[in-house]
Amino acid sequence: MIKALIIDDEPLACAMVAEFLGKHPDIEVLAQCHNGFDGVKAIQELNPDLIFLDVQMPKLNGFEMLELLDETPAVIFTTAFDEYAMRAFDHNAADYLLKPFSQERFDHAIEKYKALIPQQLPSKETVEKFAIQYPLADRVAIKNGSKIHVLPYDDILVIEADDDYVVVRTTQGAFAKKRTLSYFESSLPSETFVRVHRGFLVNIRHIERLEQRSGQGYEAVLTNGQLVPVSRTGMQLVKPLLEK
Amino acid sequence: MLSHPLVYKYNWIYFLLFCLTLGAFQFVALNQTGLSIEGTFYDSLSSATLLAIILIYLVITLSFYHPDKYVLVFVASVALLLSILFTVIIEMMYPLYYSPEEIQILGEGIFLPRFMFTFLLLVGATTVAWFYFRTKDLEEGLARQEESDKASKDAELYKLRQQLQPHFLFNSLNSINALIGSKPELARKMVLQLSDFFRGTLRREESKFIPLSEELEYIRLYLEIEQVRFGHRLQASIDAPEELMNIPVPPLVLQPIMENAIKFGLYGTIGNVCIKVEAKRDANFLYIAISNPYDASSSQVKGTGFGLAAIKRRLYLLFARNDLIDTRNSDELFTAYLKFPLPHD
Repeated sequence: MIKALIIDDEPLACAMVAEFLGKHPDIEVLAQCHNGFDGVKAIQELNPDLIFLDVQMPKLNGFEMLELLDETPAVIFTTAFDEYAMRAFDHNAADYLLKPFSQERFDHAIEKYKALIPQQLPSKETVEKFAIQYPLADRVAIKNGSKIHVLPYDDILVIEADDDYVVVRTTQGAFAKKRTLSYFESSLPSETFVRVHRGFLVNIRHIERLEQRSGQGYEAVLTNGQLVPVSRTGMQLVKPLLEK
Repeated sequence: MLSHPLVYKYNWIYFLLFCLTLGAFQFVALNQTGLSIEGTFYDSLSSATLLAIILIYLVITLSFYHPDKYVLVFVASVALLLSILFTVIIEMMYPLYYSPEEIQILGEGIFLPRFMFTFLLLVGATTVAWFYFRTKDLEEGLARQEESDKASKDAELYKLRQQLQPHFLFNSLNSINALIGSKPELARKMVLQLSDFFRGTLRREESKFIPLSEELEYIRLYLEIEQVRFGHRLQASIDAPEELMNIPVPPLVLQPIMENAIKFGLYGTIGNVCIKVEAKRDANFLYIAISNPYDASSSQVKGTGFGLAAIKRRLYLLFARNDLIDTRNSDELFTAYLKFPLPHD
């Protein structure tokens, strides 16, 4: 028996998938979820083999949702108008269905899933890339135990490297995430987030002023009063941006 | 600037060969007059060099400046000036390589032919260069024209695509697809609603005012379709007294705000969403407030900046006032306040 989840914010869209699944008695629908938060929870609790996933969903889109998972099940995307993104993601999904779709097309996707080679499971790197580049997301999603935090870019003060982790300091508190600082540096908008130091990526909107430290170094004073070291290279990067 | 004709491919080699040939002809011709070989050699060499410099100067100048009026006068005066300059400089250089006797001979017969020859050569060169750069200008102009045509076409297409709202359209079609199996009557109803909605989109003109009732009807239609899609998550209340229904309002102002309130509410929060529309009036204005729930801790859904600036601009063009739209967000509610000046009859 194949265990499946349907994740879509529109009840009728879920119903459509469930109806088409009627022809496939070897697939059992464990649950239907109507947003990304419930989706993450259900995947962790129920451990499905296959998920039907909508991309555009409230607060946490499909890609962001996948990014929060430690292990991703096979995915069949169902989406209205993200063909372009889907094509780029293609090799990482079992298939994608453009709404509205027919029973035949749906059956074909199921066949594709069954013939799936393990490499076609979403790779971590691709999921990470899409989660942060999908145009609806001006935010970073972080899972903290069972809680999911969606942090808008504007609320992020500084991201600090800490061994295998980074600490994301925001106006709502600090959160740890298992990523490298370079990952954030390359994916966050470079005109806002600047690597002022080997271990610090700062949101320049939250820099209140720069202060000379005894010796030759500088420090940035953030809006919450935190002090962040600024290296000489960092100074060259941040100065022209602040003067703008 | 375009790649310069003199440095394009092997043109500079041809140019060099041309100048050398001129020099050689001159050398042979001058030798017939019984001047010393050494003198005529230097004379030819310096003339050819000077001519080359003048020609290069000519081409560069014309690449920047090639008038489209008084072309004949332009060509003639340029050629005349440069050939006088050329002949005078060459004459001044005679003592460098000719003996006084030779200069005597030269003074008698050579000046006029030399001047005439240079003049004709420069007239030819100027004309060719003028045509060359003129044509290039015209070609560039054509290319620019094509480019701007394409840009305006793209803008038009973009507008059409926006009107089509592909997300809305395809998701609605998907809902209809689902309803056909379970609730065929609802599916049929939604097909009709969707048709009415898109017909309305096509009919809409930016300039014509429409009665408030029509605009609200349109908004209601959109809401109903969305309610089929999102079920009980989406609720709405429209509170507008009957006596306001005939007041003319500009189209495409309320509707985009409404659509965005719905999107904003549905994608910015995960709970139930209630959209409220309230209308009232006083002696001078019609007031409309549209509010949607909003989660301050979540970032604004991108694309919900929703051309507020564009709407403001439209209102300014219609009423010449900048204070007709205002937005406020509290912790849980985002509200857009609009006011329309009432027509005076």
